[in-house]
Amino acid sequence: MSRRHFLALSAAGLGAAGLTACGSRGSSSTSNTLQIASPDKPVTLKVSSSNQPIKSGTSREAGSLRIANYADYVAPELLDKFKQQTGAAVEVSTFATDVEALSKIASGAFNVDLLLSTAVDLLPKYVASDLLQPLQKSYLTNFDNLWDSVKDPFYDQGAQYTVPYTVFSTGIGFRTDLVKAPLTGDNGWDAMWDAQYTGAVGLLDSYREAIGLGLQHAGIDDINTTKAADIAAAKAELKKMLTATNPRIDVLGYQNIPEATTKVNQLWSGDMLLAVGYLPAGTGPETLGYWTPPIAKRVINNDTISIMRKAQHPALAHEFINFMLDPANAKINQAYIGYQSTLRGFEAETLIADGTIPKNLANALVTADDFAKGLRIDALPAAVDTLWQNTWSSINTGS
Amino acid sequence: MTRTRRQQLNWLWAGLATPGIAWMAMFFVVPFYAVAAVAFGRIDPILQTAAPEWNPRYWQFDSFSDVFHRVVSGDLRTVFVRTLVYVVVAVAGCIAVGYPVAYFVSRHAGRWRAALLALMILPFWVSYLMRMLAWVNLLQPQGWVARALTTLPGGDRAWLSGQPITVVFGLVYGYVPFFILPLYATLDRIDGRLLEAARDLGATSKQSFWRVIVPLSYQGLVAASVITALPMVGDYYTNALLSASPKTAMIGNQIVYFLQDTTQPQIGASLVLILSVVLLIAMAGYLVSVSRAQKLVTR
Amino acid sequence: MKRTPKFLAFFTGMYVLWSLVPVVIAVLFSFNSGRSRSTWQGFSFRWYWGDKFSSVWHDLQYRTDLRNSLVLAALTILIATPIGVGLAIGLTRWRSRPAQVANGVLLLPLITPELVVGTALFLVVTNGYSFLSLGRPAQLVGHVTFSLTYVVIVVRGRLLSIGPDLEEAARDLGATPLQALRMVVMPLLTPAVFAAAVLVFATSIDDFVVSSLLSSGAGSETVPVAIYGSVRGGATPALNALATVMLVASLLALVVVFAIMRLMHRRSGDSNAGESSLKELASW
Repeated sequence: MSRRHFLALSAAGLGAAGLTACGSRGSSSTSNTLQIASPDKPVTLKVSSSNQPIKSGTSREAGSLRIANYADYVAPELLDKFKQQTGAAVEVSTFATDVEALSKIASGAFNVDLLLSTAVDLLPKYVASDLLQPLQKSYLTNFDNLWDSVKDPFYDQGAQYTVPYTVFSTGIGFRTDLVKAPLTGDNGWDAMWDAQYTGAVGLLDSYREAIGLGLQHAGIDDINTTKAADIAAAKAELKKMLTATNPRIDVLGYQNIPEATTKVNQLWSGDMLLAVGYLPAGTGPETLGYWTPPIAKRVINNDTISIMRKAQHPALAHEFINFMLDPANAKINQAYIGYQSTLRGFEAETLIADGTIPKNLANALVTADDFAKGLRIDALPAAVDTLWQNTWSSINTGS
Repeated sequence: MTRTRRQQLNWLWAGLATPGIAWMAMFFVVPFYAVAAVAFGRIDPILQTAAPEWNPRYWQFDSFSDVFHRVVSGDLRTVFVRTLVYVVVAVAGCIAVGYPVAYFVSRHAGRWRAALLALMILPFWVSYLMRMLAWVNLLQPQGWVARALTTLPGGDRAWLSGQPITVVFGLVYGYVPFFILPLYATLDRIDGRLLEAARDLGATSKQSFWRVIVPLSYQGLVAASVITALPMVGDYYTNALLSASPKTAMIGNQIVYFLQDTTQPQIGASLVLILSVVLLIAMAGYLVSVSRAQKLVTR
Repeated sequence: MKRTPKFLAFFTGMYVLWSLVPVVIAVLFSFNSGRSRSTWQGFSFRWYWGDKFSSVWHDLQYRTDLRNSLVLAALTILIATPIGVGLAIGLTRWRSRPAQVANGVLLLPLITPELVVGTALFLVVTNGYSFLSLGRPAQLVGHVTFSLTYVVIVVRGRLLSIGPDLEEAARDLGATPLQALRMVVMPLLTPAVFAAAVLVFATSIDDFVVSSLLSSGAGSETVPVAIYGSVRGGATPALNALATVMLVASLLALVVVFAIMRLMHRRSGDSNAGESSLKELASW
């Protein structure tokens, strides 16, 4: 192509770029700051005057409710029941990691009304980027069914934007019949680095959880650390794991363990309860085991439900949240997704007494005591968060 | 034809072509400028996303130079190198599989030629995803091929977990139809009389193959390889379907990761720019060598 | 008489089997009666319409996927074919710099990785073209952009083989350029236009990268995107069934177009209509 052709082309391009003065959409750059919360520093999230809750009593919109969620994280039976009750079908767009959800909602690649699992540590980013709308409490008549300890959480005082969904701890699931010795004690996570499990290890595809594991294995207690040296140490640990056991990195531990694709898998406690349903015929739940560190080092977390600012069906979304806060529906949901609900009647002691949970997986439930004392994953300042994410992506390139 | 008649006609042709040209300008050319605008944009402090900067005077190169350093000497270099290795090996595999088939169908197939041609075109009508789906089913632990392979030494492994050989195999399987057809066209065009002449001069079929067919098909072989290799460099779904492990991640996986799974699409945009430059250089190199070869021939 | 080299014949036969048999097996397993995609458990139509929740007919998401794929393909044909035909005729005849540049640019989609074009479109849609939104609108734009090149190549090939003589003859007989185009060139181009349309159809329903990058969630999901998302998980053979339905759709489109072209060849007196149609379809 001659120089003239090249010039003509670039002239066309630059000229047409004038068209794009229609302005940028998508990622709104705001002058808001991140309101980072922790259990001892609770935060009341800002509600701006231009972002007020919808009027009480707004009628239900027509059309389908669109929600974004992890895969296999809401009972299809429940969505059917909602459709029969309200006439609205529910469309679920799935994501694999919480950062993916944030990315797609911010860019518009997810055009949804409701986010069924907003991670607590990413909540400040959602609010600061004006992605959420505050809740209209008059729709949430079932709000009182929640545990007292989650009605006014430290990350969202007054529950302005969120309603809790499930509660869980992070630990390691394993096949009791396929590991040399069951994981016990304070250092059960060593199994993830044990070369005898090469090719049968799974790591959580979550930058906070995976790097957190690296930190804890390196002896660093602060899983919300901002120090670059700590993060480098965690990266070194994870690289050692990659060479020693070649783990698969996904959020499918609830399938991997029962199907024996992995023998040792970092996962969330609810995954092990869910795994019971994936066991092949002839294998009983006693083959499943769950290990977490002692409470001082155990990561406890809860997912939350929130409504998007650009939701096209906000009243319907509120109805859905209220629907999920009904204990009868929560029971149906827990039977399918395994994760522990945060409603009254779903405390650890009650569930164990009911016999709904296999005895050997009792430690996969979160007691009120655990919930109060466990380690929380808090939001990170923006630059530190980028460091964490870049570290994770460099681990993901296998370099 | 009078001058005004020609002008009239020119306006007609221009009018017919304008919608298409406008479309291509707006939806093919300008988007590339948007990639640069995002790669060199201002970074929003909350989400660390880049807001696009359309005016080149205000472009900021920090993010891009950071990515560039990672590519040249950092963690992204491994991925780039791995991608190039996979593509080279896969194209070699395509040649090894595709050349004999193209040669046979073009020169020795006789009455089977039409049928074989139809069979070679058939994979185009099957979705790439479906062809990979087929192999995922076969290579799953309970799949027929996986089970058959366990009888071989070293065959008992998780084929769909971080195995480079599965990814390269998938690339060959997926792209070889795109390789065979242009190669077939080249081999088909070779004048049969040249081969007859060679035989008349006493060449064995092996000699006429190596001394007549191979040199004459060389240009076409290189062209087919380039047509296959270029899209392959941007492939990410083959690895995602057949391996899903960071050990076999290609540069395409990284680009999609930054674009969809993080709030930093500008890193993906920078990678796309770097990738495009690499491909442009490769393409330019190829075109230069072609024009040089043509000059030799027409001298 | 030529000897058929045995090894090469065998090799080619093996290649054909290797190329097609896995797909045949995948189609076969769509009729599996159990939930496994790799262990045969019996024959059944369960995953097509039998299973009340998970079959292609009953699963709401699969139906959305099918509808999206087919609607997107139809819209792409409706937009890309006229623009592409105009582009082919115009660029072949118009002698000017812009035309030469456009010719060069048109070839670029063939060698550019789809990821690069998809990324560029994603970034321009989310950052500039606010009249376009992600989902079906953006996906349609992406599909048309890719398809234009194919339409131009097919139609231009036919145009060059028709040559300018008939058209010039018409003009000499007093027709305006537009009339000559409408009454002489277009009828002759029709087989190529049909071939281009079916090519666009097949490309569109099988497209993955652009549809995935420009999607807006489950509502705009197409069949390839659905396959990509579920194939590594615990999806049932309904996934195979979904893929098979798409395969049948594109083969059907091919057969329909071939039949139409053969009809047109017969009407214009071609005695060997079938073979000429085949040659035309394969000639691009």
